[in-house]
Amino acid sequence: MTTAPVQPNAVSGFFSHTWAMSKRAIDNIFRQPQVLFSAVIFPMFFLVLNNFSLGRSVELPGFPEVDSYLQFILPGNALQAVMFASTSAGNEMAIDIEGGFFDRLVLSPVRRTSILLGRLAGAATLGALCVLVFVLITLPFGFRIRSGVAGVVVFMAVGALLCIALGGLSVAAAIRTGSVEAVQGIFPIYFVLVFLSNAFFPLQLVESDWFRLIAAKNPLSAIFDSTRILIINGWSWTEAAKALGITGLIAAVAVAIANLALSRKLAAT
Amino acid sequence: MTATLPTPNPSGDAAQASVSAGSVGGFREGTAVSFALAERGIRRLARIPAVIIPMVIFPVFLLATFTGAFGAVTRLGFPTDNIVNWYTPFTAIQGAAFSGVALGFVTANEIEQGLFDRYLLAPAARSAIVVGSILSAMFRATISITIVVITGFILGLRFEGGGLGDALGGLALLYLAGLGIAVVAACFAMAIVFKIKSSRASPLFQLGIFVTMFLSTAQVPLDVMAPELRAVARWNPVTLILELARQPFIGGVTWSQTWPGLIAIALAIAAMFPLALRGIVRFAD
Repeated sequence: MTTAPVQPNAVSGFFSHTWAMSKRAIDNIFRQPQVLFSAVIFPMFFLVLNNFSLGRSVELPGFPEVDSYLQFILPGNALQAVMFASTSAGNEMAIDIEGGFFDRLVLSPVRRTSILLGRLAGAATLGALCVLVFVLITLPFGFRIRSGVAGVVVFMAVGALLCIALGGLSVAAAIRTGSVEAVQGIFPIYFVLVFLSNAFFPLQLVESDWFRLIAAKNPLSAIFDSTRILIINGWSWTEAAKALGITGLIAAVAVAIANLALSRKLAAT
Repeated sequence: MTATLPTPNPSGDAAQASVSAGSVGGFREGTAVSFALAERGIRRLARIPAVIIPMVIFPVFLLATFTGAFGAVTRLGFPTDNIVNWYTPFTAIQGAAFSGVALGFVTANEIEQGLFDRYLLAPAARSAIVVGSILSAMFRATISITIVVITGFILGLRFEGGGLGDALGGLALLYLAGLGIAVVAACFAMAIVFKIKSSRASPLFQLGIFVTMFLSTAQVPLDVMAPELRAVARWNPVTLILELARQPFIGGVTWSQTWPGLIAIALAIAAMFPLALRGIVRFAD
């Protein structure tokens, strides 16, 4: 009787590799708090700045009923922080490539998909943390999430998924170019995507037809709207499902793109 | 004119060698090194097209989105009813500032890859390296300003006040303001990169420039903003530089609105250039 050679369990191997890579990425976040700080401080600054510069917009006839302009823009700014944080996944990947660590990883028995998923797990953690920071910082200033803990959890989950989505794209850029500078170049695009939405101004007051048309079609507008309703009006299954569904779909597409970039790079080398 | 950048010495101890070699060399060598570095920066644009995003595409999109979204706010008391006239000079100058910031990314990258040690081997003063980098940033800024202004005209930018001479003179002032900001941003970014010696310093100078740009009359006039912001914007030199740049599009060019902006640019460069210079000297040591 012959005995088949012992094969490592493929599934448990995949999970252990992914966990190891995820832990490395998540540990990096806590070792470098400046990454979270730099992601949050900028949109936080804009939250305050826009409130001080465009705060009188609520005086314009047709502006929605809100306590203040700050209340209107909070969801947009919090998710903007998530978007900025997402580039760190690409940055870290580019640093790994430039420093040669990526090549060493590829030569090791670590599963290729685990390299990617580990980076994105780090991005998801960072995204959820960004939202949590915004919620905690604004609480003392009278902001209440009317949908309660469930609303906060959904808001954080939306942040995590959005960070996976955009982190996946920045990882794809890092894999393709291997340049930190090129990944940094993506950062402003996210800034623009936020501005081409209803994040800072109600669409009914927008005078430009082209802008209104694009912003209405921008999936971010729907995400901002749903989270805004959860925060300002209260719990809604429909809005929660809408926010999570849209971000989840974008995340799935982005992960597929990043995976394709990784496969192509490995095939080329 | 081109100059060949030196290769590392056989022992590989480039930094040590640079201490003795880097501080020698006359004006001619310095100029050659400056132009070689500037040329290299320009070639880099063609090699990595994504680099162009922050300084050209970003301000153009920002102009489009700001003017698209916030058109209604001119009813709150702006000096013009055309939001494009208000935002075009700001986004042009912001694009120029990003040209300087981009130089920080490049410098950090070159330090991490060890390439900067080779620059330090050049038989020229440290200032020549800084000047070369600044020239590269100014070239990028010129591209950025031009594209933003063209976009502005497409979106409805129009000259207000004065004749053709005033319009062209005002446009020259806009370029002057933008190039001045680019030099200041480049020096600021380099000073931080030389200190931290890593691309992880990028958010610091990126944030510094962004915050300074927006804590001004970037979005709304002083009278429209909240008192808390007005207290800061009134003293921010960028407010004066924006006033200088906006003249041809808001009421016409006047000397009283010109000289404060020119002084602000001169003082900002006088403050930041020595910082960058001190940074490279300490980095080399």
